[in-house]
Amino acid sequence: MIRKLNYTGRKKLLKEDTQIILYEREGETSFFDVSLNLKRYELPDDALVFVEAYQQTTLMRFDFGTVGRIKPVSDCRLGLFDSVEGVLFRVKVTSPALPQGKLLAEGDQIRFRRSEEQPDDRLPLLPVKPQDIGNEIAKLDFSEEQPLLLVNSSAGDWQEIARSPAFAAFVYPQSLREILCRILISEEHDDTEDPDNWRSKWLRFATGLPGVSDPPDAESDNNQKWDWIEDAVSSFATKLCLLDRFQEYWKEENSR
Amino acid sequence: MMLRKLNKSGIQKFADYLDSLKETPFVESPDSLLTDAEASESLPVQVDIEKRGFRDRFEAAAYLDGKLSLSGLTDLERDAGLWSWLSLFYFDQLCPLDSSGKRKLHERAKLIPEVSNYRKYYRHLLAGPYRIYKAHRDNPDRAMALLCESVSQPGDIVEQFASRQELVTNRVVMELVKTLYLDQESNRPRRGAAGKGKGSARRLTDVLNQFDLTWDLHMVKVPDLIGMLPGEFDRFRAATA
Repeated sequence: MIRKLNYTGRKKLLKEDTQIILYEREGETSFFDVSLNLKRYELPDDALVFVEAYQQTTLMRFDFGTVGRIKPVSDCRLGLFDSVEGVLFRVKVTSPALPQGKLLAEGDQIRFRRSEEQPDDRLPLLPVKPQDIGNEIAKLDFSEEQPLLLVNSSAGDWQEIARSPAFAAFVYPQSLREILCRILISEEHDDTEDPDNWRSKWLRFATGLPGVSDPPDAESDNNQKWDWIEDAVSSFATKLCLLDRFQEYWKEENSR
Repeated sequence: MMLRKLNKSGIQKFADYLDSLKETPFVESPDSLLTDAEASESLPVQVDIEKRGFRDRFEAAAYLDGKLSLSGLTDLERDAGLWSWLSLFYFDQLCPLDSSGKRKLHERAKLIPEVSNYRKYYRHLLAGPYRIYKAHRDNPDRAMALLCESVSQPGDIVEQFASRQELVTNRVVMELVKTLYLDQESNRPRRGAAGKGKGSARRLTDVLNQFDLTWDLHMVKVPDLIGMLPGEFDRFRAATA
């Protein structure tokens, strides 16, 4: 994998500064409104602002004027999307100078909030979602802006399954291992500071577990990374008392 | 024939048939599923689909776009049953017989779309070109480098670009890919566009992913972008001059 380097000092727009609100009306095309707070980034007033809505191979791009004069777009309907489920947004601020298109700031993978919903800053680290996943019971999905734990929607009461001690014992430590492996080894991500990036959030979560040190940096060899991951998973299992909970469950099952 | 969609049972039977081809490659496709009420269902609107040949992915996508986009059907791209039905309907084209009478086998996602799998959703042999055509409907010709191959053999350029949402939906990038890799006379990819070699489409996606951090690629002009490419692209750059 090629590591992406930010040589140009491009600024990252935080999700709290780029809020997208979706409006849905019966029988009409959904549309969005955006609330941008760009002051703290010290961007030039004449820098251009664009908002993009995207989902798989569909993209819509909207011109919101300039940093100094955000111009509400008259038509923010998401007419190209078959369904708004899963649509994400990105906000780009680009330089007006030639050559055109130099990126000054960007916020990506912004999820919309429906107009009737309250802002929720306490999203779970690993949302669980029911989905038809063939004959597997559970698997991780990395296709969205944060990992999801998919539970087979045909397996039964998926919420009950996700809460069961056996499921927790088998699935959660392995999920943590897979997520940390992807972050540290596949993607070589070692930044723990980024408040929006799911990888940084997971590294902060693992570092906060009892007895777990700071994560190895991207240049460390894989053995060091594996050791750290194993420490984190072990600490996680201990903290959740997974063995005790599983033994209790197993005893109950066998006594039936 | 009126377009229908395979239901869960129909999709499973079609999948079973695809699996069976590994052992018994001469078995005919289960066309009865197309109309069998237990394996397929009608749609809320009537769409007449013709059994016809497609010169390339572009022609297939244009035909399907003409039939589907104004049909009033909703959530088309995520309708696995509809695209599976179409795969079966055009099965002889998607999995043509070779000289020994055997079918060319594809991975399942090319015939039964995995609409929620971000690694595979674009691979369906009909939904894939349809999506690209639709994304560039204002001028589908700009995506020709991804639509010029046969429906049964999409080619390496497609695999490299269709999997990257921010590239395949970008008009400038699609113009660039066409300019670099499509031979205008033959309407075929230039030699060296496929594979892992210097200046290949695979290398271009790496370079564009890096550019994407510095530039808003929607705003850069194609000639400027060509000028920014590293030396390994000289061969293709020269062909565009």
